[in-house]
Amino acid sequence: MRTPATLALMLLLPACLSAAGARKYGQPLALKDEVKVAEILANPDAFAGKKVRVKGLVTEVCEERGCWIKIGADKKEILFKVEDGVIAFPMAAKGGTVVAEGTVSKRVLSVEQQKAMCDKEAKALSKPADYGKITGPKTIVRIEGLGAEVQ
Amino acid sequence: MTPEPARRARPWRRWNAATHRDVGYVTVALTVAYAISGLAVNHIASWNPNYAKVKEVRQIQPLSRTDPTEALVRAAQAQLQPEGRFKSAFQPDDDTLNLYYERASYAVDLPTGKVLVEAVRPRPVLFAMNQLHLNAPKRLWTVIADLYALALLVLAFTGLFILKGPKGFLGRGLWLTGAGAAVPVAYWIWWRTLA
Repeated sequence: MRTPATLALMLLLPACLSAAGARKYGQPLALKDEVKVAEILANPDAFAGKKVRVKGLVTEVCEERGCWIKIGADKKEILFKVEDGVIAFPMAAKGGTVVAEGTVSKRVLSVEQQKAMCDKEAKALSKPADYGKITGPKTIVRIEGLGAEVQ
Repeated sequence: MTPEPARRARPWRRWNAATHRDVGYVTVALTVAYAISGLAVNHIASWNPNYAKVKEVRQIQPLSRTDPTEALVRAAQAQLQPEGRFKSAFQPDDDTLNLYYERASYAVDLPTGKVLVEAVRPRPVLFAMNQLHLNAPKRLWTVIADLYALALLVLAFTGLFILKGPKGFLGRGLWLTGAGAAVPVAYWIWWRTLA
């Protein structure tokens, strides 16, 4: 009798959990003032290492693990990366309005570092490395996500 | 000569077997779900275990990049006639308009009128298994997953002592248990030192 009960629980629980409408991800939002995405991208040095709260649309979602989203506003987009397994955004979040908090990070990747990343990706995907897009050092500005609310 | 009466298993061994049996029954569904999800997620580089994606290119009349976003949205919707609930629109740059609907998104290249339609559907059952395996729901599921992990430990240890004699843990069990343990240990050493 226990196995049918377990099977029933397996089938019903996801439905119950999704019906509850889990739209909050990660840590609760704590900051009051919002910063514009465009401001961060225009002056990343001023925000690097600082905790910010941004608002925008979810324009893309990581399809494999839900471990990042892109937040777009005013014709600008920024990557909001969360720790794998800690937060998983569903594809249904795409197009929703998001308020998110995290720490701004800025990295400059040298040509060699980009080539190494290309090699790693090519090995993982079993395809030839493509260096075509590498034109010089690349600055990556993103938000290391802590929490988000998607409507 | 009277036959020797059958020796009864010691009480602790009977309890051990009963525990292994009943915990096994209770956890079989979750074990199957986690095993299937594990196989699916292991090969995430080759396929998307969560979503089936359908891409389609459509053609509409080119739209003016100087029009305000609201007007562009109305014009694109009139030509595309998308189904489902409209969620939002976004212009990542002057030449592109993205429309987001409940079950699909449309990326319109304004100067050419070319539209990339992407419809994403969660894979039935497998999506639920993966979400539970990766503990996407958090909250109560964390407790259930912890209990399941403890149950697996109980299964592992009680399994060692089901049988006694030459086929028990102190017989072939010791060799097979050792071989099973050697696989991750050897792989780890190889991966950290040689790979």
